[in-house]
Amino acid sequence: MDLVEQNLSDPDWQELTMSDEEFRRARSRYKLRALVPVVGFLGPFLFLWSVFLATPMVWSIWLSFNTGGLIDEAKFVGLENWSRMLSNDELVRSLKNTATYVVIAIFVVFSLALLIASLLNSNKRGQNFFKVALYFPLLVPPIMAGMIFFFLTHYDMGIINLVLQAMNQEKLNFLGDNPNALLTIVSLEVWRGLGFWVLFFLAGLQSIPADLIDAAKIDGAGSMRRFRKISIPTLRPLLLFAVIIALIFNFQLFDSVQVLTKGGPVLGTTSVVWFIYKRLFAFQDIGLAYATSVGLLLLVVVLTVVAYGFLGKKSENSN
Amino acid sequence: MFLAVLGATALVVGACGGGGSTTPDTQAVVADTQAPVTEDTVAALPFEGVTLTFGKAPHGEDEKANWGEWLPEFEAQTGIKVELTQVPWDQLEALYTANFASDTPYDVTYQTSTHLTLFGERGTFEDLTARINGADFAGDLPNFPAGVLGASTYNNKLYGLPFVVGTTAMFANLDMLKSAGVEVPTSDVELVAAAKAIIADQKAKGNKGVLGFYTPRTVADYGWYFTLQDVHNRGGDFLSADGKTALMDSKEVKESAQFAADMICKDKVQPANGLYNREAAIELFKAGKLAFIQDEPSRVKTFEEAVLPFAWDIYMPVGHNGKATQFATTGHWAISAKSKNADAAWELVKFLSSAAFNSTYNQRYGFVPARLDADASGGNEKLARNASWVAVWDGLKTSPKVSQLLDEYAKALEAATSCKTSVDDAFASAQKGATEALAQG
Amino acid sequence: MAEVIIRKLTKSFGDNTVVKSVSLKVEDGEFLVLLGPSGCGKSTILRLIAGLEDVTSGEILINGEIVNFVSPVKRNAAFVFQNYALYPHMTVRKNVAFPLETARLPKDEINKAIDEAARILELQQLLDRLPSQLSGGQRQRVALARAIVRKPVVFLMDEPLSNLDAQLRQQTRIELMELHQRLGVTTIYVTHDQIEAMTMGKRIAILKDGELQQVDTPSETYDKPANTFVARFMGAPPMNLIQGRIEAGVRQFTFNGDGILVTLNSSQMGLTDEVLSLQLNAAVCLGVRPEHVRISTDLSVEGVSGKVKFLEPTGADLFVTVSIGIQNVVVRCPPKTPMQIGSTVTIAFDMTHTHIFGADGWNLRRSN
Repeated sequence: MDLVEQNLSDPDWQELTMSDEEFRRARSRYKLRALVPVVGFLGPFLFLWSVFLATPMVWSIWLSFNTGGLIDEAKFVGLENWSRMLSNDELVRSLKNTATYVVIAIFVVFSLALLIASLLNSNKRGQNFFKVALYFPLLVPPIMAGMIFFFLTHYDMGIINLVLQAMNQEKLNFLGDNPNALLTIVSLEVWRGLGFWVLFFLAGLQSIPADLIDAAKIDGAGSMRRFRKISIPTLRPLLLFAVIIALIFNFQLFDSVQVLTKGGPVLGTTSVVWFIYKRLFAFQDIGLAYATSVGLLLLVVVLTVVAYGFLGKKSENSN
Repeated sequence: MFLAVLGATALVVGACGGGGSTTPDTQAVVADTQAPVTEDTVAALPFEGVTLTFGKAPHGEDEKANWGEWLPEFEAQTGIKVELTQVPWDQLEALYTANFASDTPYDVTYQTSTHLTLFGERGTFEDLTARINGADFAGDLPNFPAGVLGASTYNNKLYGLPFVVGTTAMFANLDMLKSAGVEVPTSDVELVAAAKAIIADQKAKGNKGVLGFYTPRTVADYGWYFTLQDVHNRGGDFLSADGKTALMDSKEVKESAQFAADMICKDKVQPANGLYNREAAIELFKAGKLAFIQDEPSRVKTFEEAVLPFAWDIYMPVGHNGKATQFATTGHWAISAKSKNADAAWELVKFLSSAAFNSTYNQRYGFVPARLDADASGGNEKLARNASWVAVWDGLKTSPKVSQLLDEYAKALEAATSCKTSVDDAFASAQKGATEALAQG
Repeated sequence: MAEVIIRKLTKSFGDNTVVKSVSLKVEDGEFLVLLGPSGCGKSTILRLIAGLEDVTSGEILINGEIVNFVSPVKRNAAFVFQNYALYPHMTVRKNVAFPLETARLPKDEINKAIDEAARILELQQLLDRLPSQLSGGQRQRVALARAIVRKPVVFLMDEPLSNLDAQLRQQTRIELMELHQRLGVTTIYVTHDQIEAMTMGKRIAILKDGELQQVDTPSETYDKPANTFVARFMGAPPMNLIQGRIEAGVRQFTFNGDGILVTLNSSQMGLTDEVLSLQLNAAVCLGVRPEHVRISTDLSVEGVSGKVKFLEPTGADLFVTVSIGIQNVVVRCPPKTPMQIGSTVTIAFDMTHTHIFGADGWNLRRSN
């Protein structure tokens, strides 16, 4: 009380040295300065984003309502491309193939990767060797990958068929038969992607607090139950991210189709992007290609949202 | 991406959009002008200082090196500098699309029937009709057969000057024929019988796994390129003469596909689709495991260089009822409509399509020259015979829709030869797709 | 209920031996505290008992049975982790139910057990929350609930209070002791906090560098520390340790530590002359707790004189640091004792509470 009264009687405490106007101006200068780094850091990104992402995106959507527009002038045709797209048999087949591929590839690669990652996680010995070994497919130069593929799948001299033959089994026609061709492509992508996902999940497993696993051991949970009840739920945010990334990547299946099968046999491996690629470049059917691209984008966005809802929400509840 | 190499075993690719890919090389190869041009001759050259860009998909791994030898001659004559870009076959359409959409497309490109009007009708290429009728070409024009020029003309526009026409040849392992005591077949029926006889004979002699016949029937290996001539042998086509009606479900198309399917599914003289791709089958032939293979004549050179351990020769692919024709695509030189040096580009096109250059080029790559006064055999009797087949050559008429129609045809052929889809179903679907494609503006 | 015995227990990680031949017996229903600075191996011992680590050598017996090769769950020991180790994706109810569900108990039995545990630890209102929605103290109680719900024969607690703030820690300490009294389960409690050890343990086992230093009741470890390590570790501020030598006096031995001369009355100190004579002229420590040093501003009082160096008022006490030559002695005084820095004082030691630590650091009293 004394102190308060003493302060109030002191003139230094009573007079403002800045007028309201000065205060306002100083404040806005201060705020402007604070904006400089924001603009400085975000500006280049926003510029690149608009040039390389937003503009092409808007352009794609626009072209999906036109014919031409790449080499020649675009001509507005309204919803024609979209209606052609919806009634295209090959696209339906492509979508089916791609979806089948995505489901099998993600399921197989994630199951294997999680299994191998948890084996590696529980066995520290030789971990580095296996990490490198599994990552190897991503590092091999294309020429060697081609040789390895040839070495494995050649009808007469491939290891797999030689083994089958030795076991008196019928030899496999890897790329000439359905559903073999799609499964061959799945295996190839699994082989290629496995190392990455193993490392990804291993990092995830290693980030689970050791105490949680110990607690579950004390509580009597065996390795399967620990994996199911502790590791997987704890990895859920990571799994969500992985599923979304894998969805986005795998829906773009193209390389192996173009090089190995050209969509065959009998449309057994035609994928959505292969469909788009053919329309866009080989047939110069620009409108249909763009309509399909935008459609694929929408589909992936919807699937991402669904995946998010499915996996993301669950962590809120128990079980 | 890394898979690109899987197809890269193809050494030689089809004249006309066929074949696999070769090692991607999109970097410009500048054929150095170290020509002995002296200072005083420079002033006399009309296009001194002009640089032309030139895009082409390669017909062989050595093509780049060869251009390094071929182009300096032209550069010395004209003072034009030529920058060559090799466009890989498997990215050709994408790279050309991007290039033609830009402000500085290649001045001169090599275009096959499937792409000539596809791009041309979108305003990409100059109509060369006026130029070929010009005085400077008057001596050359009569050497181009009317049929060849006709196949390359669309709506009275000629978007590229024909350079080569494609043919296919049937390679036969003569040792096997002799061993089985059969003559070289001249008809489809004889071919099946000969193949069966050879397989049986080889089997009896302890050579298991010898195959009778191979030619690609799949989309991936451009089955259409090797099968359409049989449609023509039967007097049919997949498209009406006016180019307006799809004939995918016509009798001739279906009978031809049925024959191809029977060879695989019923007669079993050809391995099932997918067991061996085109290159694997070539290796089989080279290894003496295959009696007949129908492929491009460009293989003649490679087989000769490889020195096959048996006697072999090339023959006209067999026809129905003995009627045998050649049917394929044409390769052209096209000039960009946006070219800023169109006249210089025309000089290059005249050089490239000259009888002399045509002979040089095709003595190496084994295609049939599109002009009659070129000799592509170089004294090679087999290639000379190949060239003579131009007499029964029938060209795939170029059109903006031809790629898409061929895709429909190829898919149906693949389905029909899969032994799982009936020819009727396969080509009914192709007819539907082709009709839709034609209806679409 | 069970007794836990460990015999010559050794644990090495590669070349690093963190537990060195520790033998210890924990009586049935006892509350034993494992005390020591971080890295002394106390948590490792706990994890070895729980079965979370494999024993390098030695034996662990629970209820007379060697459990070295028995899985954690079959040892029936509950473990409470320092950071509680609650399953973050499960509600409190699910967390508590987890060990029971793992054991495939019937639903109604599980529910009964949860209700019981929730009642004991006052978690009824929190059962449907996720761990992230709980305070530190609440999480602690959930961890305890998960531990007691299995009705274990031994509780292993690894610094369970260290993540709580000071006030909550004291309160939870009391709750834990109440819980122990109520359940009577043998408990081994690891801490580095000597106050916790003093207040909670029936006995304290003090560890240093993987070796057991002393196992005794709290008051014994405080009053009769086995060695200089225990002497310094127990009590705040720690025991004064004055370096010096034992010299032979006229009738008695004398401790001479750089100006601090103390006559050693062996019987008062619970020692014998024989014991002292063995240390004659050896470098030893004289140990005395601050509360056993008398201080006087009256310089005529018998004792050692020195200068006041620091004053540390803590509210309840005043700690005076007196410097005598190069030695410092901390003295506990009543809070308002008039002292001034720099003034000269006299100090004297209460010999009944004074210890001599031999050249090896061990208390000579232990030789008796």
